Amino acid sequence: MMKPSRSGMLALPGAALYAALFLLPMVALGIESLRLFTPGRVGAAPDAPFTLLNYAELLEPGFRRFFFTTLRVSFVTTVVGLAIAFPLAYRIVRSFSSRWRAIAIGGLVTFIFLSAVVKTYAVELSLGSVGPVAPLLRAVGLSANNSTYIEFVVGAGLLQFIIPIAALTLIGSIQNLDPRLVEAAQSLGAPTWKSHLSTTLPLSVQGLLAAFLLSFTFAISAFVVPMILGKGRVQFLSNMIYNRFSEVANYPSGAAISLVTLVVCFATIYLVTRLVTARAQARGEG
Amino acid sequence: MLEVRNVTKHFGATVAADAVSFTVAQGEIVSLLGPSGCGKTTTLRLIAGFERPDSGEIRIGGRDVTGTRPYERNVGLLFQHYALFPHMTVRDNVAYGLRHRGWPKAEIPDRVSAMLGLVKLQGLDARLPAKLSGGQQQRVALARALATEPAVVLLDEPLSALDAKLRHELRVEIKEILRSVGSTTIIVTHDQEEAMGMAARIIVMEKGRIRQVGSPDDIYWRPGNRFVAGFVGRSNWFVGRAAGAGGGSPTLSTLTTEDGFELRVAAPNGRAGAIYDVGIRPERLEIVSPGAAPAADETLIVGTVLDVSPLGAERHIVLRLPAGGQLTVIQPNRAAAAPGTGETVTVRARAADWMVLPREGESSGV
Ligand SMILES: Nc1ncnc2c1ncn2[C@@H]1O[C@H](COP(=O)(O)OP(=O)(O)OP(=O)(O)O)[C@@H](O)[C@H]1O
Ligand SMILES: [Mg+2]
Repeated sequence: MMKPSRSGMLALPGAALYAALFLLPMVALGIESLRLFTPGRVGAAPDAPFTLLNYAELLEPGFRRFFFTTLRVSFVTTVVGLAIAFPLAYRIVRSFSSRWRAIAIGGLVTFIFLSAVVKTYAVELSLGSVGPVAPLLRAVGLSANNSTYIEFVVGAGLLQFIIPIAALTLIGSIQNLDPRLVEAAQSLGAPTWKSHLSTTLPLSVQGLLAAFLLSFTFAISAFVVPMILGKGRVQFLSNMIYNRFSEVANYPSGAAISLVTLVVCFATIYLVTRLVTARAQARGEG
Repeated sequence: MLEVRNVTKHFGATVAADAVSFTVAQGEIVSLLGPSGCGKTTTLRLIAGFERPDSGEIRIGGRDVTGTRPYERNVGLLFQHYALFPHMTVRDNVAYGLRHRGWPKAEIPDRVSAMLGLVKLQGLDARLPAKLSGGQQQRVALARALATEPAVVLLDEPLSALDAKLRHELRVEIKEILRSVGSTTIIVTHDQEEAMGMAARIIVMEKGRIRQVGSPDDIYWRPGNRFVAGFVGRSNWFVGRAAGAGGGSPTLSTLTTEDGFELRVAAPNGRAGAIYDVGIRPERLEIVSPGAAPAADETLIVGTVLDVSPLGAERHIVLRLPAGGQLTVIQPNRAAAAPGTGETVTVRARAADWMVLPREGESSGV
């Protein structure tokens, strides 16, 4: 057996603390999710029998819809967010003077930490049913209460967070790119956009992956944005979890949804990372 | 083939190119020589289209390309640090230009093989650039730049990242390749030996301006100004005042230095009293036996040996002159005994070997 190294020993207290703070509640959540719930109670009875009912329930169409809405809106918003954040980050790195770059980065950081509620209500005021966009919608025969439109507004709300998060993540990886690669591609006859497509983009894969995962997991677990902008018509998993725990006090069901959400997050991270690194390896060997 | 006409480019307050004009003929290899920061890379980037000139015009093959984009110009560029695509194999790096310049798909593999053969990299086509040595990367960059048969090839310090021995080998090889391809080429370098070894014509730049254009011999033996003379090779300099024309010969005149030497030089056509910079290459000085009488076109200078350095093929001898100045003499390092330190020696200079330049800033009386 391997002898634990000194640095391994040093990591022990941290690991123990982490286990206590993260894993124990998770185990508690896991146990709760397997208990049978009796309506009218707050949480499951301590001696309630074990069951898989709380998970089986999630397969019903009514529940499945929450998962699909959350994943769909999160995915589309993340992709749109990256498409906006990437050129933004590129501009900040390549075209800004060092002073303006510092200001832009500071601005993005500030924007992330600006109160979520404030940002979300700002979106509601501009895109919601009383905002300046509403009359335009009515003019083309759309209602601000149309659920597709509400999904769009929720997406707009999420972008307030995703764009700065993704841009900051990407700035780092773009800074590591050799600017002459694009020029080399251009001097070999590739128009600017093709030059970026064949150099900047593939060489930013790691950064894009990181930005995607951060943005996507942020979106999946979003709470305030869909609560305020969704108007009850578009609800995310977090909203349902909250609803289960605090409104109907069905702790076992809330716990089951929480764990499934967690698994979905991990599965996404795993799959996307596998996909991207497999492609990168294929390229490297080809 | 390539014409650069009166091109000026500013970066803020710095002038990176100041009214630069030159032409390069079809198939000619020209070198752009100058100290770091003098605007060599900027000049190449202007020709390649990565910078827009503030004023002036650039023509390639008779066509005005001043306003066109880099990919619309048929210019092959080898970057100062190669800029190979790190995520593409050697083969894909070389094929990149062929794909984007519209070569028939079926011909690309053969063309890539031919280029890799030309730069002696057969068998490495599936490697990534990171797994190549510096010299190999350099060859890939050259193959990539030449693959599409560009009208003009620009090489930015193609050898600066390599060690001395490899540099020498590759210099000869690149010259061979460029000649066999017959490409019109500009090679940028701050190494005079590289410039003289690779190009038939040298453009010397300083602070964004062209100071002289000429053959390697012109630049070395007939520098147009103090900057060129000082930048290319070593030389001993004096400041001399013209004593007036004649001195018994229509082709010779005498310049009196501040130290009181009377230098016999080829007549600079100056009026009496004009001030000149007069210099001589150390290898043109010859140590003679003391007491020899100078011919009409010779000057004898006496000094004390301060230092002798045997540097392999040649021997550098530094003399202290009576007035305090120094004079360097370079001799072939043959069997003939070197003078000892402290010895007094006589050095002979021939009139034709002096470089005589009107003092910069003074209006010469031509
Ligand atoms: N993009 C730029 N922005 C601002 N100044 C620049 C830029 N590019 C070049 N310069 C300035 O223009 C001058 C010429 O630079 P250039 O790179 O052409 O020199 P160089 O002769 O290639 O030097 P080196 O031998 O060091 O490569 C320098 O003073 C440099 O600082
Ligand atoms: Mg340079």
